[in-house]
Amino acid sequence: MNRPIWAVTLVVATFALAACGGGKEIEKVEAQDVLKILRSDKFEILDPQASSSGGDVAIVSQMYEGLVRAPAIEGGPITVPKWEPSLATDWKIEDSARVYTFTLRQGVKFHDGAELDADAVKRSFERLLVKDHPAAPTKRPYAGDLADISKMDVVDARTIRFTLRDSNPRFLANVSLHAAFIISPRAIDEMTREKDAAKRQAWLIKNTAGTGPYRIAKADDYRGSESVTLTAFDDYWGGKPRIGLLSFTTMTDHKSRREQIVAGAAGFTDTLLPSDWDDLGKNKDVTLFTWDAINIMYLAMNCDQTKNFPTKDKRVRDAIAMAIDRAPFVERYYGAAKPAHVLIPYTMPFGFPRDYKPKTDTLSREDALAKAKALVKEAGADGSVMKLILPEVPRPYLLYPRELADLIRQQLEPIGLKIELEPRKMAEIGEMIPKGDYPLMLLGWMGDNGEPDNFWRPLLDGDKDENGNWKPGDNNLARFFHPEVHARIEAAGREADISKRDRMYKELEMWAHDEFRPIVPLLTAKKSYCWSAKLKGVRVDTGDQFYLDKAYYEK
Amino acid sequence: MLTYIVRRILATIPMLVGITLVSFLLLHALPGDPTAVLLGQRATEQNKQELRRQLGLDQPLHAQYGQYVGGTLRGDFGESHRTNQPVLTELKQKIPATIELALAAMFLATIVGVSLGVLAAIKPRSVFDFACLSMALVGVSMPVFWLGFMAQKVLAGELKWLPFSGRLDFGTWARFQSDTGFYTLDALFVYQRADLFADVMLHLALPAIVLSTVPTALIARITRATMLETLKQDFIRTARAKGATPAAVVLRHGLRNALIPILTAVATQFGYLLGGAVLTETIFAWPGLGRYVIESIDALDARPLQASVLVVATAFVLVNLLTDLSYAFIDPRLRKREAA
Repeated sequence: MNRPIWAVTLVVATFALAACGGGKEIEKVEAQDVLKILRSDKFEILDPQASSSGGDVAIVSQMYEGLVRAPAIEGGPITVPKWEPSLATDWKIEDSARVYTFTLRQGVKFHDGAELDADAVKRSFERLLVKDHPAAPTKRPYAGDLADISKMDVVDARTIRFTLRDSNPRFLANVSLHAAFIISPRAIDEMTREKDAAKRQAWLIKNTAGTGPYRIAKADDYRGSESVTLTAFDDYWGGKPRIGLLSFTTMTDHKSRREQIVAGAAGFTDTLLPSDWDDLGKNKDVTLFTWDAINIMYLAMNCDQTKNFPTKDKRVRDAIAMAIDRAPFVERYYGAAKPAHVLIPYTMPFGFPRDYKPKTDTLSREDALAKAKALVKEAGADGSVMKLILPEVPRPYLLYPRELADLIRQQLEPIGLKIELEPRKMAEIGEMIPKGDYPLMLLGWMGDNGEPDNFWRPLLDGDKDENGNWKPGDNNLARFFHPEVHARIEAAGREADISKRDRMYKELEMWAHDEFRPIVPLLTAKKSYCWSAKLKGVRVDTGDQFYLDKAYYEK
Repeated sequence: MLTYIVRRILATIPMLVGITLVSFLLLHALPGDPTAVLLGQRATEQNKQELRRQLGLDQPLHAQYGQYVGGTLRGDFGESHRTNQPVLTELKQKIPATIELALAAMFLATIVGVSLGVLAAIKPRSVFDFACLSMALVGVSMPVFWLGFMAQKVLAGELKWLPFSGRLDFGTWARFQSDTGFYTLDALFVYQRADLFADVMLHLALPAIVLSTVPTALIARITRATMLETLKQDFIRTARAKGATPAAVVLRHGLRNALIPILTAVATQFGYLLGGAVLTETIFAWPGLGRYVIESIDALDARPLQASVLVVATAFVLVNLLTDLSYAFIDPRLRKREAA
């Protein structure tokens, strides 16, 4: 036999021998026992207290639960949030929303077998809030939202009482955040043994410690940002989920996700482009779920008086606001967006002044352009060149960053402002904001908990620095801070009467834009999920999160 | 020949030193304070100072470089601030994925490219030659993202012959654990399941086909040009005169003599593919080195970026070294020249 034939025979023999069985055990999963889910973003941190990205939270929300949860989207406008029982079955609010007492659900088990009781809840919150906690992760980005807890009392095994530093009607909303999901006390003990915070955080990638319907069954179920498999939790208090496995895969490309869901290669996907919604809506093999989400896309204008940008002059900011025509922005979303004129999106249950527009937005196009041009001249900014920072990649509220930024460039040119587009990575943008070395930035914000405070405080308010001086917060793109705006945000956030709060936020909108004009709100975008038509029982809540504990395949 | 091999190996040492230097300086070249880059935006000044001390960033540059090289030799590339995982652990997952895809693509590209090139050279200016040249031109000029998307749409979406993306159907094989990082080897030798191996190969097929288009076209063009030259040589005429079969003339005498430029093209293309095919990996959700680099750049995650640059550049140098060494085995003239 000559050499090539020998080689071929050897290769075939090796493969045949190898493939004849007898290796490590592995079972094939039946199609009806698994749901293949495509995600547009990565999942890297599966510690609820450390997670902040949408990709992480989507996975964490299948494994962990909080004391209360957001209601499902039932169609129609979102009304004042009514928080639903989750690990707590009942709660009492006393002392002008300063004391919150929760009654815990009975018979709830963590994935590791520990029982849920008041002490477990207390320990989980301590891990989130206590400085230098021995089990804390490297970062706790949402800890500030719950930082006004001054005391936690274990009243009895099923009752826990939180006392706050001041009245805070937003506390239930904040308790519904993923950062307040309850982590097993056994897991906290395990993590306490690990001295390195990064390793403690990574511990929850390989072990789950929640009470949710799905869990990580083995350390290898997490395969980097490539994929993660979650297994139904047999002892889930709400009954074992009917779909045995959830297989999450990151697929950043919109077109690929659309093709896969249409071809039946995947059972569920998030964000699809509005341009595809019409076709998907007509496709009988898939269910397209769209809703009016709580988000805002806006142009921030740097108000920092210590920087030498033309935008520090309110006349320039007013001129920019006058020159912007929202119609072509909204058109680009194929009907999946509505123009925004104020900070709070129209989808917010309260605090949105429905029929109000700031003065700059009430002029006819011709008048607006003429007045804007005059204002730019008057401010001595005619011919100014300004950089517009935008994200390199789409965001859920900003699906076409370059095209929309270019629209701004085109619209500001006639009033004498030259705009240079500067796409940046999100990580770079995160670093740029506190420094404020930019005149204009195009970005947005997604609501976390259905509260106007969750927009006002991060976007147009500030914190005290080490010396006790106020400075704009790290998400305040416009680098705007004003003591009176701060005082009004604070007052509205502490007001227990919902109708009074509603009015306070509306009045704040109707004053702040005309008075200071730090941002130009542009639009609020709808969001979408799409799943196989055979899949039923998917729950989507007002926090934009999906849940699969009651999901099943229709035969 | 030994002298040749030793000389070539010695010549790579300055290159490897240069690579460590470039990857080391990368951390300092990234925008902003390296500690801020490593710790993320919420780091306090105290955190930054502590990290600066831990990393030795308060020391002179040459001392830092010494520490970096020492760490690299021990396989300590630091941790990713994005995932908090040791970079070495992550590279162990990413590198096999990239090698597996690159090998599959190069296997396809070499077989198809050399075959097309040889066939075109046998009958120059024929319809077949024209078709080969046109295919090569199309292959080189086709945008990979478009080709990838169309391949997915047709082969996976319409015809359902191949899966859309990923290295394996983790829905079906939920309990699959990779021991080696090479799924083909795991399927064959760890699990010893033909159906699992078939699934891995099917997942590999589509990205490999798409990724192989450009190398196929380049290899086909180089093979054709080199073979055309070689087939005009006197020794080919002699072989024909001595009664060698046409196949023997083309393959044994022609192709073997034309092999060095072809091998160089194959090795260069393979080196590029080892750097990670970013677009292909993104379209097909292939968790390789290319995507890892892009994700690290997006997050300004310096350590993975540093390590990836080091690994990719070293791999490129080593592939070139192996190619150079293989010349000595393929070309007897080189051996004789070195011996003389």
